[in-house]
Amino acid sequence: MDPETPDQNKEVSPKNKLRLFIIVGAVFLLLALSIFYIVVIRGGGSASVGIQSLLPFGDSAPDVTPDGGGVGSGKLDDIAIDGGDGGTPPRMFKIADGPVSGSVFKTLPDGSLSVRYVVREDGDIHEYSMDTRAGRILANNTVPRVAEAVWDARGQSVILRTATDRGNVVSILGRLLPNSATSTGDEAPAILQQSFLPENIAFVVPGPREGFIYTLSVGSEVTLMMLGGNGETTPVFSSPFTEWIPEWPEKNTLMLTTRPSGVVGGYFFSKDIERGNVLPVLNDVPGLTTRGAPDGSRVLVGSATKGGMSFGVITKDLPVTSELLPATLPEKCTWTASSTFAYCGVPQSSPQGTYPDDWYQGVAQFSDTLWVYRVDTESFVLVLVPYDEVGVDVDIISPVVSTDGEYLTFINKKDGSLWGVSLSALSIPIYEDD
Amino acid sequence: VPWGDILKEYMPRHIGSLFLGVLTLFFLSSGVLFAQEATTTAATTQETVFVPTPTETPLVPQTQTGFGNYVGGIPTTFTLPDGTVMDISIPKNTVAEDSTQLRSQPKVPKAFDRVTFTVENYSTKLEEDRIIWSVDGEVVQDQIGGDSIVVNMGKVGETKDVRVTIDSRSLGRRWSRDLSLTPGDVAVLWEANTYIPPFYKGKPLPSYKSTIKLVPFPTISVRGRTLSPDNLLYKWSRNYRNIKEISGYGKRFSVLQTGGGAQQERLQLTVSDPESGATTERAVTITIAEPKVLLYGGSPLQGVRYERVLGSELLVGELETTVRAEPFFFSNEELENGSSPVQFTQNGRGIPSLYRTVVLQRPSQGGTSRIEASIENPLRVLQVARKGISIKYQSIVP
Repeated sequence: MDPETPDQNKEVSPKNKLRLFIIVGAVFLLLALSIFYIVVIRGGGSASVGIQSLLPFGDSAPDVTPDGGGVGSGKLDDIAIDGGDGGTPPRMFKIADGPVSGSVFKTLPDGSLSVRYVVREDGDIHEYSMDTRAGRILANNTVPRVAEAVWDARGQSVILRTATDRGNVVSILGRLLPNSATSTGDEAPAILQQSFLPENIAFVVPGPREGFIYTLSVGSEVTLMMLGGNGETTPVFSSPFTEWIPEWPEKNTLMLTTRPSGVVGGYFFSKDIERGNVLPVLNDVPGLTTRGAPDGSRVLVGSATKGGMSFGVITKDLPVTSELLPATLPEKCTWTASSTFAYCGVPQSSPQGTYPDDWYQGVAQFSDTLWVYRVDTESFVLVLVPYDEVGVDVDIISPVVSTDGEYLTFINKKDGSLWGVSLSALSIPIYEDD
Repeated sequence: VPWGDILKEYMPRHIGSLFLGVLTLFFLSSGVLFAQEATTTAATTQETVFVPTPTETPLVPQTQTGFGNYVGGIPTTFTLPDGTVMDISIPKNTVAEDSTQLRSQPKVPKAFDRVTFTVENYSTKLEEDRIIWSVDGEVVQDQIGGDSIVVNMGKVGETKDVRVTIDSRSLGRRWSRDLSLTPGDVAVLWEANTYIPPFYKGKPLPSYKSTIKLVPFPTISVRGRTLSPDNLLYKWSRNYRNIKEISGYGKRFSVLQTGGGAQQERLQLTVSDPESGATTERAVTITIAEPKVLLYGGSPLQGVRYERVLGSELLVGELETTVRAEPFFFSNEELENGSSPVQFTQNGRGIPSLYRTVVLQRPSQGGTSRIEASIENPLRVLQVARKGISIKYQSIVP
């Protein structure tokens, strides 16, 4: 017998029993504390960003630096993609294989959060619970090949956009209504009441609270039509120049940016919807693209440089761009409802080219990381490396953040799949001003 | 009437009074003329404001009632027979003040420009004078000889009121000049009538002999009032030559065709308000793009996947795959009337297509082929493009 091997038959003394009892008790106590932390703190409140950094056994997010030096670090080997090992819930998870055409967050009457999205192939509307991480079909449709689905802010209406073989763009306004047949066994609890919008609408964007704005070409002019929650349309702007991309970030502010090209100077105007005046904000910026904050205080701005791109932010009072590094395209970003953060997909590298043209044409593709712009510190920091999390390269489009700031969804442009990110599980570095 | 007698009798006695009366009339008429001249000057130079400072010597010299108040040898006040005192004084520094020039560079600033304001005067020694600058009522510079300041303009339409006050040591006087500037601008928006695929967010670029619509978007304010673009004069020049055909009053948009062979078009626009003279300008260089064809994959169920262009090789594993050829930057006119269709070949032989799309069906034994799409515009000969791809069909035979 190995002298170091304890004798299995040896009687355990009362003193040792007490020791054993204390050790087992301590293990159970630690286990209970761990469960409490995982279930209550990690799964719960919005204040967890600050709390997690203080907890000794908490977040194992990548230790990142503002200059991007942390790219590639912080791989979480112990986190399963599906979270099925009973460990920490994954910070990034796939919602749908897709291809998906557009998504929105919806807070259900019971207070739970879900994501509604449109499947490209048949226009079906699905609902995915962020609490249970389970999905279901919400409404069956017969709109094939939906290239773009634009949801209203409330998640109740969606504009489905598809192209005919000839290349004409068809837009259908759909409103989700309760399905009265559900009780008789129909799977889908809702139906989508559909009505056609005029043909060849170039751009549709959601309003800050409800409704949409779309561009309608009539003759040689374009009119921006406001489509209210009640279905009424109101013209808000007309121009003989037709290449406007609208944004409606704030109730009284309409942003008008010209269609971008890296070889053409673009313009960005701001229109006060109530007063009616249109004022230039940025002039003659090559490759200009924008993304406005919901409170109208800031705008993320992208522009083209020789062979590449530049990125920055302007404020309402001073439209002089403060550069943010690394560069990305503003449409890869989404602002939180409070306008204090903007989450952005940022290419790890971008090949030499003309941007955004090459990316729009599908000539260039990116492999993105997730960064956050903090208004309070004016910092732009890396928070997630998707490839390290789930082993998938993502080219982020259509990012959306939930109203409570807990979750982010985006579509991977490479394959149309829909992904979720638990923002409360991210450790967002806080940099104090010197 | 015996005028001769009357003169002989009364003239010697009243010759003094008569002379005085004629002299009075002469000076009265001169005074009226001077006053009229002064009024006209003030009306034409609207930026000129004479500001008497209460604590300093007023601009108008102190006059005394009574006949014969002379300033610089010229009588300035007269007491009329009814006792009214009339002042026709001319400030002795009128010349100095009128010759004061307050200038800005640039004359018509754009938003957020740094504008240099300079004051000039050759009647006083500015280098020895105290010069006070204020912007929007706030003193920003007060120093001897400080004859210029730099002011950052605000947004378009936001007026900056600049005042310079000269405290002349040599003349012993003080006067001011005002200049208000409102940044104006004009966006030179243009759009080429060329094709881009559906849902493409980028700008359609002009190619050889494309039609371009020019749409100026001016923002000019005069004294706080934004001018209507319908009431402005638009002057275009193209490659440094004026083009009258598209210039004119109230011309909100114009159309032109890009030149044949030129790689760039330089357009300059000057927009002015004929009434106030307010002017702004901007130049743009339009680069002529090469039209091209890109190939995209798809399926009957998913539709075209514009998110990613097909590379030089496509591996076909599905039973049916579609390849769509999308032209970029070809003139819409010929694409719409069907005179410049996309044509496909497979291994050099023409194959049928529908709506720029070919459907590839995988042969059971697999294989390879080369698909090529080409397009040319017969009316604009340099609008031509071609794109090819190698197709590799996977074999379904194990």
